Amino acid sequence: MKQSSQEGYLGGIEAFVLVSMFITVKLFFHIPRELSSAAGTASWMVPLIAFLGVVPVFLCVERVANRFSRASLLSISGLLWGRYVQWFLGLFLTVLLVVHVGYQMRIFGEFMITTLLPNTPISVVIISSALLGVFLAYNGLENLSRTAWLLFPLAIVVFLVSIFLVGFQGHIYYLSPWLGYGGVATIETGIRFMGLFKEIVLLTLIAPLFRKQKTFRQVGFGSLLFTASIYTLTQIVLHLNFPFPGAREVGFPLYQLGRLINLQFAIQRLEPFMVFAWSTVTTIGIAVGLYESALATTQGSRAPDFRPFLFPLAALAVVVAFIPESSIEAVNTYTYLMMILPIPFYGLPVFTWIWVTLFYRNSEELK
Amino acid sequence: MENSWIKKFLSIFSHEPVPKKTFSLSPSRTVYSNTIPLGRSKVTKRKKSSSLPPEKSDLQKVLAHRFRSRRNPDFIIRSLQTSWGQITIAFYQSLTDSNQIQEFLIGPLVEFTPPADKPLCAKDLKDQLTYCHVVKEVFSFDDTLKSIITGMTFVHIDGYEWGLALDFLGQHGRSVSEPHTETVVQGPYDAFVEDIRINLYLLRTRLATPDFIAENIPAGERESGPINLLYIDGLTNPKVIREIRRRLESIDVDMLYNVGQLEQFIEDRPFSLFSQMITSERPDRTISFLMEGAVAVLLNGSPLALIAPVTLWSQVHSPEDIYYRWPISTFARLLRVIGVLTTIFLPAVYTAMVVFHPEMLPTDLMLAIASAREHVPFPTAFSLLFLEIAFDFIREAALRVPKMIGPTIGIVGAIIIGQAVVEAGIVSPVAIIVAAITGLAGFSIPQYSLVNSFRIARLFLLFLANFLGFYGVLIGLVVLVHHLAGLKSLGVPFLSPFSPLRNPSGDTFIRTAAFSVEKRPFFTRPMDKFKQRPLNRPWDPRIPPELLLITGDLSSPQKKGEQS
Repeated sequence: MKQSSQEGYLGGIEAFVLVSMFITVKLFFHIPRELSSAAGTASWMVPLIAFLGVVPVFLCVERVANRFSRASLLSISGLLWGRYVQWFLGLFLTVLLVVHVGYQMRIFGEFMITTLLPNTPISVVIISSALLGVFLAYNGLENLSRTAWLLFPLAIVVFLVSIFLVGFQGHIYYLSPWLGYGGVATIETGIRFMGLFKEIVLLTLIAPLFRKQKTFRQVGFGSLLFTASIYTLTQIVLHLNFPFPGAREVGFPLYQLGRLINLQFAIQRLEPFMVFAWSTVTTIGIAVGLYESALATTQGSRAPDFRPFLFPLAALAVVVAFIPESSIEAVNTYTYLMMILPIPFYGLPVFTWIWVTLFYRNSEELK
Repeated sequence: MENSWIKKFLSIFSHEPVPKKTFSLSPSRTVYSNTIPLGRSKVTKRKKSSSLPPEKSDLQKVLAHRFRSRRNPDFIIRSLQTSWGQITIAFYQSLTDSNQIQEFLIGPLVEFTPPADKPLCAKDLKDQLTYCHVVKEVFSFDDTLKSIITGMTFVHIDGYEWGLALDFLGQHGRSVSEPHTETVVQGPYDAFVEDIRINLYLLRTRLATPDFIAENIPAGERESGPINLLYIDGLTNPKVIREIRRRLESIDVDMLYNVGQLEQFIEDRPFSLFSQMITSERPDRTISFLMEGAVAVLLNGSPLALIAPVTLWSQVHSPEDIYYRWPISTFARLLRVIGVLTTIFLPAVYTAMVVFHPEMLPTDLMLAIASAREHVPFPTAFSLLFLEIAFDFIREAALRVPKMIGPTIGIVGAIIIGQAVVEAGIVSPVAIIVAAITGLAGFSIPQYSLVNSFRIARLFLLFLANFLGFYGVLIGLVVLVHHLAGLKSLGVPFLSPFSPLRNPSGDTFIRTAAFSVEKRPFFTRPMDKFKQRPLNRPWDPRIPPELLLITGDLSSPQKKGEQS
């Protein structure tokens, strides 16, 4: 699929940051708690195991992209199975992504009113984040990736400072027993949580924006490795500070970790500033999600430009965000989505790769 | 409306490709080739020109009619009877030097003896007028008009279908003086003036190379002088020259008063808050940009040069950064960057902290601020907005009032803002401190237009912070960064070389030592990438001999003599 003519190319470092931010949005929500609950004190191993599980999937993505000169996955599916399949898959991915982004906006709204804006209606946060997402996505991924890259230092510095300030207050024995519920159970949890990296599917849609296959590969592996490290580090620090029974009860774990910091210097409490920095990551992530859903629609319908789809899809995402009756319901559904979305997100590229390997021959190969 | 949003939307259904609109310096993008629809008076510009009437009486009649000479006594038509013919001289009295006309035109014409063996031609007359170096032959009536309105003196011999336009322009503009907005402690003290020729003189006396081109581009319909497009041939990327020339030539207006107005016609995003070009009144600064591969535009009547492509960081640079030692310049630049962040974010962050998150502040400070605000009935954001507006009133008043009473404005402002408003309980002392630091930090930025842009951004952030606290600041920050990341200056990303990330040239935030900045900035994509040779201190004992070998400094004639 030919990308919109106003789209530029993606730089390697900018794309790496963008994909990493998209993947780490969940980190600032309740996901660390879910990991603790599912794997006990060995929850820090879960992202590493999930990473190992996702690497073969990404290899399939990379091979398919390489075979078709970095065409998007939907274009490839159109080439292999016809335009109706392409249209259906585009619609399917769009629905999934809109639901995903809608729930992200809802939990982000809950996060903001819990931490920063207790007197503000959640609708204000959700609608403003949707509008901000549309604004960011409207100018294309090149601009969005540059924005992400410029905000990355703020996010990463605040993250590392908070992690290290809190990490040194912890107790190493809180990490025991080292294997949590046991080795096999931990591996099984790791595989179940492969959805931690499901946002890597973004690369299958934006592959045409890369100039070189090498950059595409480096961005994919680099962002997977980087985000796995971030998740692991967070889980370690969480368990260093909260014993296992407490860790699985914390609402927004990273925020609670931030609350443990007390500088008594020029700034007494740091957590509002941390939430500020982390929220930049979330807003970028929401914008990428909206962009991705619009792109899936565009590529599925073979439209030349994604922009007209952005606002309607953002409106749909806002509608989805208001579906859950309570924050608990939103959180539980989001966790459930994280478990099942990898099936289509990982399944489609893997199936395409298998199909291409077994059945597809281009004209040169047929000669 | 060719690429309107509606058309894009409709193109979804028709599967029409959307034409590419953006210009980029990237080698992967081809030269922009879309034709520009011609404006209203392009047609009139191409109107067929009438020839010059050969008869003296006809010519004088036409000229008198066209220039309304009865109502316009400044326009002079003089008839001169000589031994060899009737001569008509036409000029604007206000634009020409009458002494020069008398001495260098009328004198030689009276003494002139036409060749007897052949008819008189323009060349014979030009050879006689040796004191004037700018002489143009004129064959059409339009060219005659154009030469007279630009200050030339028109000469016509009765019976001939040609004339001469001679340059006897009088010097009525102000002389070169010190810069007004880009003052420096160290460095040259001359600045551009309104006369484009003097400005070119200031540049050419510094830049002694035949490659320095000052290309004439026609300006507005009623403009007296042209636009000069300046660049260095062989150094500036031809793609940049083509693009700026294309944009300048597409302007079709009555009049261009200033380069600030011109900028809005040719910049990439004219509706942006931020200027994507630099205006400078300093010849040395203009030349430094030209030497980095940028182009500059001079407009007659404007004492400023318009420079592009530039980045945001170059707007934070001061002209004197290159005159100081590198640690001092680097420190000054970092200070300015802190100033930029302070002037944009301080009021918003203060409002967010005081109103939404007082727990962030140390307890003693929080109590001190709370006690200071105790008697103030207005919200914090309102207090800051009040101070901001009061500060702007003082600034505007100081610009408008006569210089003699300028200090009075400062004193009155200081009394009102510093003392009276606190005693009246309208604002708290802390708010005054915040507003003062914000204002001062803003004026640490050398580019005046950028200060104004940041002022609007600051108000926008203050508004958001008042309603949404840090979340509002976050929205403002992301919007601002996203907008800046999307701006381009003549195809160059505005935040280059940080976004997109490339190797900085050593002259961005941190200014390294002058001898170590070997390359020109990459973003202008200059044809000659190096501005100095790699090793400029070969005599320094700290330079490794291997480097000398690589750069060939050991094989200089002197060294060879020593070796032999």
